[in-house]
Amino acid sequence: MGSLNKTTAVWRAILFVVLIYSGYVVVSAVIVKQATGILKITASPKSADISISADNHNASFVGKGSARVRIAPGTYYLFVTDSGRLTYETVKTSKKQVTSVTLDLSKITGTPSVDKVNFKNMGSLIDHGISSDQIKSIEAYIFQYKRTAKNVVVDPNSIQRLPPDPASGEFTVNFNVKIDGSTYNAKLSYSDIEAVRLYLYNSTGGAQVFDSQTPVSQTSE
Amino acid sequence: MEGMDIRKLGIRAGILATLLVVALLARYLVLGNTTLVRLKPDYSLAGQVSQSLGVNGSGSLWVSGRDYAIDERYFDNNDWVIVSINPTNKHTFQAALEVYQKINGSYRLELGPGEVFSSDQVANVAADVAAYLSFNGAVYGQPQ
Repeated sequence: MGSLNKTTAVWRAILFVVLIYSGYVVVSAVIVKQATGILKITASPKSADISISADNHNASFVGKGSARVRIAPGTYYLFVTDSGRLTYETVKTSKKQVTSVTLDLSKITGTPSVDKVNFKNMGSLIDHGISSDQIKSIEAYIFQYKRTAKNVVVDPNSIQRLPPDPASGEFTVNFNVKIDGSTYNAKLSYSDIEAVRLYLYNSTGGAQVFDSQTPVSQTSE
Repeated sequence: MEGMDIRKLGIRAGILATLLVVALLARYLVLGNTTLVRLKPDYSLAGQVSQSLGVNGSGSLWVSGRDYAIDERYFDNNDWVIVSINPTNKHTFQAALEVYQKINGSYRLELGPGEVFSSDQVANVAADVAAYLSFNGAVYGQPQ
């Protein structure tokens, strides 16, 4: 009888431990899901190494060719390397959002720079009140959005300058820009001839893909 | 009696295994097919330096402090940084330089990693950064 009670007590203790552990596994998964976002990275070629880091943090190797990671909200540096070639992108993640990034190493020759991007028709913005300093900033922002960009073409016929906002005095200029074959609706916002803020939106669907204050490319999880 | 005990034991083991499987399955359903990444605090540019050096022979990234030491020199109100990377073990990789520029609050790799750079490459960096690189023999050729 005493032996039976002892066996039952041991069984209950083991069951209790397993229940606690199972609960921990499920609850921690829910907490992680609530506190993180998903970063989907696709690299070309498939043999390319993908790594991720952040300011004041170390780096972590996350996979070859593609990776799907959960990570806390923040700004991260994605690096793709293969056979001595390197490309990278800064990406911002948010809670419960899926951020997708594609990095193509096969198009990279040497270190990318804004000077290597072929900008066309940027001068047409001058006719609509944009200064040459602002154009330099716009070029830098487009390069920031897509460091692998080769050809950037502004459609001169699409440029529209709206009347200044009476409350803030801010000017707005809208135009279409083609970045390596993909068309974006761009919006410039500025209140003087030096600073300018660039927004980029997908021409299909109108989703915002870039803000020169906070670069983003996100969809709902 | 003994047969009943063994049967009871089997049922209990089955219950425990089922609980564990259900918990792990629930975790997979909640998190999906993802890997959780947690980055550890380190020197300001250590992460990007490790990434730029690429993956080592064992399939992982070089680690600052363990595999290499870095020396950061800041220019133009911290807008530019030259990072000297020195391997702890000279047989792993060659010492290298990298140049970073601060854009919208975060540093971006502009040049390197490399021991020397062409004058055309250096033409894109700030004048004092270029001068420092040139003074240290890290620039070759005439700008076009």
